[in-house]
Amino acid sequence: MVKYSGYMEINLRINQVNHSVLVKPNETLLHVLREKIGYTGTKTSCENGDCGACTVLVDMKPVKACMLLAVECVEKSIMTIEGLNDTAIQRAFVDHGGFQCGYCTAGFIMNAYAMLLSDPHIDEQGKMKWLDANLCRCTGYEGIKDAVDAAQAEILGHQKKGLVETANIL
Amino acid sequence: MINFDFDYYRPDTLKEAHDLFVRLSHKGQEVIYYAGGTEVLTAFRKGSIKSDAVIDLKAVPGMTSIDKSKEYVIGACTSLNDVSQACPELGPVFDGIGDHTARNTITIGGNICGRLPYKEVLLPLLAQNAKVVVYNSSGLREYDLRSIFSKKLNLAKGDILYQIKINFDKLMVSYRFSESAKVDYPLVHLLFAKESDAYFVALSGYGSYPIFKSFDTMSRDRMLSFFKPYVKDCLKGNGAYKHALLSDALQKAMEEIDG
Repeated sequence: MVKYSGYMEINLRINQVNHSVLVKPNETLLHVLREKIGYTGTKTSCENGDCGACTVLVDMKPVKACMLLAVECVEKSIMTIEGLNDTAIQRAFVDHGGFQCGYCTAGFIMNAYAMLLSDPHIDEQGKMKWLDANLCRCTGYEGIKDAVDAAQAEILGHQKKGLVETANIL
Repeated sequence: MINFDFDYYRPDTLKEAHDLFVRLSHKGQEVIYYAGGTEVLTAFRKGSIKSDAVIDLKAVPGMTSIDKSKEYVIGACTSLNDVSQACPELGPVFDGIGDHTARNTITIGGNICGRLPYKEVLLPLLAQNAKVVVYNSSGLREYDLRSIFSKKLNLAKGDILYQIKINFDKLMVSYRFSESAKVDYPLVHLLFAKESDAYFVALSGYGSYPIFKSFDTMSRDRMLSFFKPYVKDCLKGNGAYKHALLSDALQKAMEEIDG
């Protein structure tokens, strides 16, 4: 049985790097990522699991970091926005006006990245279902939709040519 | 931020989890079982509940697995998305609960045992007469869900909801209305099922808690008369509006089920 009480050192694997960090059980993954390790790309917003600004991937599934305890994430693989590098979805957000103030952007990108990795052929209804988990107060949804659609088109184009696996070009 | 300290435990077996709950409770500690944690962390942050210890059940074998041999046997800590993927029959019902990302964290057992009154996961389970496997000091016991459900799942303090067993042998349809078109709690969520000449109706959002009733005739008036005393006004919609939504949903469900 595992027990965490008071400040204890835990190991978190984030963006394929092992981090040793001192945490208490009551600290959320969001707080630890930003305040203890310095991954400030993941944003604090509602802290209630509603807005999606804090979306990260845990074992390649999108989750809201404000709704997870850091101690729950030991022995899991965590990916933040800092773990993506020149992916199709990031390029698409830049090229297609996918952000205004940018605060929701990391959350949207992480969710969209996971979505297209899970099913690059996802249809409109499926895209709506996944991305309803993220809010944009600038209401820049048109640009976001254009970006996601463009990234999907690029991925499917590469797949059609038989060039690479989805994960390598996402 | 959660502004109080608590201890976090992650036991490896049901017995370990239950014995720990009993031991800590006897010491006078407030102890909570922890599954997905979405409701617990929200309540902790708001200060509506406090705890000295949380016991995370997700590491217990069988808690996050789904077996599909003779019937579906679903671990209580399985996420709603994982359940939907394995049991497509439940997907349409679960789609309204939270949002897609949240459903990677919300668990089937947590939705049943949590404090929120909607517990929409229960609707198909009640309609299909699912069974639940519970662990307590006597070991594992299996119950018909309907026999231990009245307003909520009636478990003794310290009991652990371990698995849900379900067969989908009844035709079922569901209709969900909410104030917003997007992510929102239900105004009325109807699940309507049929087996031979028996009809099963499960409701969430309409009253203060999920309601289930079986009927031997498909009479919409009779069903509406039965449920009307349970309707509850809320900020999202008054009783009359909810009742009208229910009437509409029943009409559509009956047409869909009977072709």
